[in-house]
Amino acid sequence: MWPFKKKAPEAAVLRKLLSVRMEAIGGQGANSAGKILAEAAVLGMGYSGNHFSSFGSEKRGSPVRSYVRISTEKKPVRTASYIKHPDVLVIFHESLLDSHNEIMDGSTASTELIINSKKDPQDIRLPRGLKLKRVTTIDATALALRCNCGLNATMLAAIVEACPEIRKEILAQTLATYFSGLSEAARKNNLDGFEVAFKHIKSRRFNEDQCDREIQSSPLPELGWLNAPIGGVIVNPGNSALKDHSASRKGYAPLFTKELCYNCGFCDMVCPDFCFVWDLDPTGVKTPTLQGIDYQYCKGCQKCVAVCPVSALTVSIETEIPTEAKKHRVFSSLNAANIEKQWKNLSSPTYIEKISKNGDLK
Amino acid sequence: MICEQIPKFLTGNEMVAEAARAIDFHFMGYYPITPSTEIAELINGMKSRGEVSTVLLPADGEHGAAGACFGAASGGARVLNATSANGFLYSLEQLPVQAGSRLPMVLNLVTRSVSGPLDIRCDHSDLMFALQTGWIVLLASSPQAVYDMNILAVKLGEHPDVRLPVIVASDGFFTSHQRQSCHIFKEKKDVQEFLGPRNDTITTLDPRKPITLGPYMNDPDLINNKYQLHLAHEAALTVFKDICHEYEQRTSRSYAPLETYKMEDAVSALFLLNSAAETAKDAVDRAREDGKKVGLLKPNILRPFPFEDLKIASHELSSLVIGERSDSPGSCGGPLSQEVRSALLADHHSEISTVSRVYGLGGKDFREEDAAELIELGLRLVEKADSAPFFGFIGTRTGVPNTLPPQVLPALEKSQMISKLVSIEKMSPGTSKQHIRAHVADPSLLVARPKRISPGHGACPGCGIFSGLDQFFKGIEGDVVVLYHTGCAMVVTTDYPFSAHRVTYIHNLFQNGAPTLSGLVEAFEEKRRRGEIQANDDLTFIMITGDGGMDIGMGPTIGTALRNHKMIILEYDNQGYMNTGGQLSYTTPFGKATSTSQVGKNSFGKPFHHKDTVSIMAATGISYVFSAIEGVGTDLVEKAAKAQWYAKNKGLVFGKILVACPLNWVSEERQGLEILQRAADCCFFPIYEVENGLTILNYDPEALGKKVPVENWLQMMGKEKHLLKPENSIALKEFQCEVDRRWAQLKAKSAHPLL
Repeated sequence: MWPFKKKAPEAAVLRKLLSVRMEAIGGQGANSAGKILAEAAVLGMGYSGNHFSSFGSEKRGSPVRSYVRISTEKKPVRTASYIKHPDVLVIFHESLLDSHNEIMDGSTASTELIINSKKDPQDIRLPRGLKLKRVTTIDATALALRCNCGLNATMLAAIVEACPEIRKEILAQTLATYFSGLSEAARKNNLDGFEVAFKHIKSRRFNEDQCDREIQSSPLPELGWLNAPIGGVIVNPGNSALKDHSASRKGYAPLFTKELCYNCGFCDMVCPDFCFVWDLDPTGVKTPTLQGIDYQYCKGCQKCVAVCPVSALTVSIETEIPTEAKKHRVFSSLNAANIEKQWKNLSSPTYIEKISKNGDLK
Repeated sequence: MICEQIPKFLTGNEMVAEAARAIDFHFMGYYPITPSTEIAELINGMKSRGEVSTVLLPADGEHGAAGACFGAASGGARVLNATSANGFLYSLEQLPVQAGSRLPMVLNLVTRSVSGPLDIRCDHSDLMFALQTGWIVLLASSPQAVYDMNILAVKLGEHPDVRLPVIVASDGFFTSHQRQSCHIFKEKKDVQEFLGPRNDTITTLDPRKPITLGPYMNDPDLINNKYQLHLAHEAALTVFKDICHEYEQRTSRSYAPLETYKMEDAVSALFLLNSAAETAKDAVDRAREDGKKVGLLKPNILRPFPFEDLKIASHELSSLVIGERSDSPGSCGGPLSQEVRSALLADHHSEISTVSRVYGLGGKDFREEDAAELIELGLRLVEKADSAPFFGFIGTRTGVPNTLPPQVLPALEKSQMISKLVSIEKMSPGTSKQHIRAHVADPSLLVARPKRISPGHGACPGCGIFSGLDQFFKGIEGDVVVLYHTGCAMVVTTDYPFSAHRVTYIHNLFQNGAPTLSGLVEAFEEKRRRGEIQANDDLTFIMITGDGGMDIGMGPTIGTALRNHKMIILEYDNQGYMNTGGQLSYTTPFGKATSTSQVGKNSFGKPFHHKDTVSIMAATGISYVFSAIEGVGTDLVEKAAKAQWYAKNKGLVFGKILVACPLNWVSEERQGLEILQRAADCCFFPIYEVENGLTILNYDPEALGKKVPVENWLQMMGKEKHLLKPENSIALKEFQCEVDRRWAQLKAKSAHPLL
């Protein structure tokens, strides 16, 4: 049996129906964390339950939601719909708070929030008007790097702590089974990571004062059948420039030292994410000079570092990138001017008028 | 008579694989498509570990997969296939052929929305196309049902009174990727015993009893063949009930043609398919707690349609709400409603008010609250029959009237796209094998070329596609129109309402990009000839495809090349179907581990050699064909400039670039370029051009003393490392021999102008 310190008996009331929603970026292990949690509950604890994730394409870096429903009364869990009001809401990367507003959707006064962050729970700034029960933080990325294990192993420690319905040792056993295909060392690292992480969980009762973050309204208007251009056409292409991919980095990022750079352009040739910022002479007389990196787009692959013939680009721990280096922008302003009139005929006005008179088709 | 069952916690797709393990099909022909892909992957894994003996055939597309299955079934084999959405539609033409020929098999249709626009999530728009094919359609609303229905499908289809192929339809993601508690047979022999042997009265594999399968049959005979088909469907409903009864005795799990849930004394009911019906059961429970007399009808078989069961079950109802996860635009009802209403109409005593609501298209969630809303709608109809519109959608979003998306980045100006960065020099005849030579500025100056793809696209970290494409675009002057095949580059750049393309972009499904663009090229030329487009408004047409698109789309691409339209086709080869989770493509190297060529005691990886697409395209006789890798030099940029000249002046150009896929090669993101270089150095990926039929080697590692064994390249990728183990030495040697043979042949071509 895994050597756990016995948890002090709590007055925790076991929920009849427990729902957990995990918010992450593909590759962070939220899908497998959900699977392990649900398997521990169903096969280990004998509860009934289900688990599924919402996917995009099979790639790293796209948002993933992982859902677990557990009935401790062992009622059949039949519903296939997503979890809107989770009892436990888990956020695998703090920066998702900035880049993906929707992750907090549906939280209630009984929701326990778990965030992968260095901060103390009371220092997490949350959107205005939010309701929660408790806020828990764990520096799961640093712990995973230190233990050389998956992020899901360290996150699962905080998750199981918030789910007294599932016994830790059962979860550890499930984790061991899940990683049984790995080498002995890798398996041990993950189990160690899981155990070590328990000592780093910080939990506080939710305080409304920490909800002072203004929710950034979407730069794009909500599209529906009244205003979406017909045919699924996107009439403002290039708008992906609004996206923020900093959550795709796994703790490292390139750091640029201008003094060492001789502007060979190799980094620009090999960068998949087009994040190098150049000072271009419109007359074409002066050679372009590299100003810096737009970290909004950089996913930290380090291909640029590999081709840099001098040491102008080096690998840095992401959190150690100086603020000054982060000011560079590929596009100095992302224009939000209304689109030209030429697109107006894309949604037919006569149709809209007719529908508006008849009211909703429902 | 109960057979021992063991508990599992598995998804719908995993349960198909578990059923397949117990059935041990002779054959599976397939082509990967989300969300059904996992089925072939899982069975491939079992095969590589020696747990099943099923032959797996990765076809060149769903049409080919369906053909392969037809062939195998004609020989009396037990056959499995799995597909979804457009893959299903691509194979559609083959399905009536198989039903009309009365050849049983099992096809798992993991339902997904049919394009376009392309959506990978669940609805039933694909399923509804199945209704006219003559196949039996079973519905599986949970992972458990998926397992059971696959076993039942074999027995039902092979029954002498039936003899039909069977579709088992389960909901994409909601069921296919959802884990639930379920049970499977402990002993495979119990399943085998339930199924019995396959008894074929006719087979294409008995030369002593020759048959003619698929004659030319006009009137007055065809109508009789179709009447036989009708009779088989009529019989199938009875057979289904019988075998379900037999199955229940062995498993305690029962399936009626029409499941009735809390229908006793119900005045109103919902009619829903699959996972949505499971979700709605919770809503029905809650409504019952509130004393409302409501129930649920959920068919387990859709073809043949359980008319009689529906008539009986609905006899006491005042209203019925039909939920449709697909629409038949213009029908004001949807395909399912037409089925249900025609059944009720046939019952002369029926005075049920029915309404239809389309829900959950393209994977939109169907929640318990939605089901509750439909329940309330039904109860209102009980009060007053015409209190709600006959037909409608639920869950649509209005949007903000009179607003359109803001232009985030300005359109690229023509002046921005014309530069002095590239130029073309015509060579004097006899001085060079090259007809033209491109001169390209230094990378330090090329950075000034505005990028035709904007940052913010969602590719994986270290993805080689976008640096490769950008290097290519750096060599292209002026305005372009691009067409992308379905694949990684398409999906990660166009997630609605976002698009990373700053130039006009078209997507078409990846068997058909080349013809699509050729049509646009010709329309452009003709409109210009008529003066409808200014003669000086020039456009370069570029099609971007992955190696997957060059499998399923090979035929149309060759056709397009033979017609020699003025356009460029650029293939980014990441050596597999990476967008769907890393399945093998025909371009995948020999021995590589992919999710459909897994490594195990019975498999060393991909069992056949990589496709030489460059040679295939060169054989079409087009003027310019090239291969290249991204790098810090300007080789690829120069080739782009030459490609543009040829596309403007001669006709179709084909180019292939090898790009890194750290995710599915299991390699270091930062090492992408080094891996590509080693692929060139070991001569696996030779860098050359075929210009006007003359082969020109651009990089000869042998002459430079840089040629390395393939191991030097393979060792950098987690999905290839196993080839370096002693047990795979024969496979490795075979791979090296093939690489060397092709290299020697290429050198000979390069040395001799006549080759």
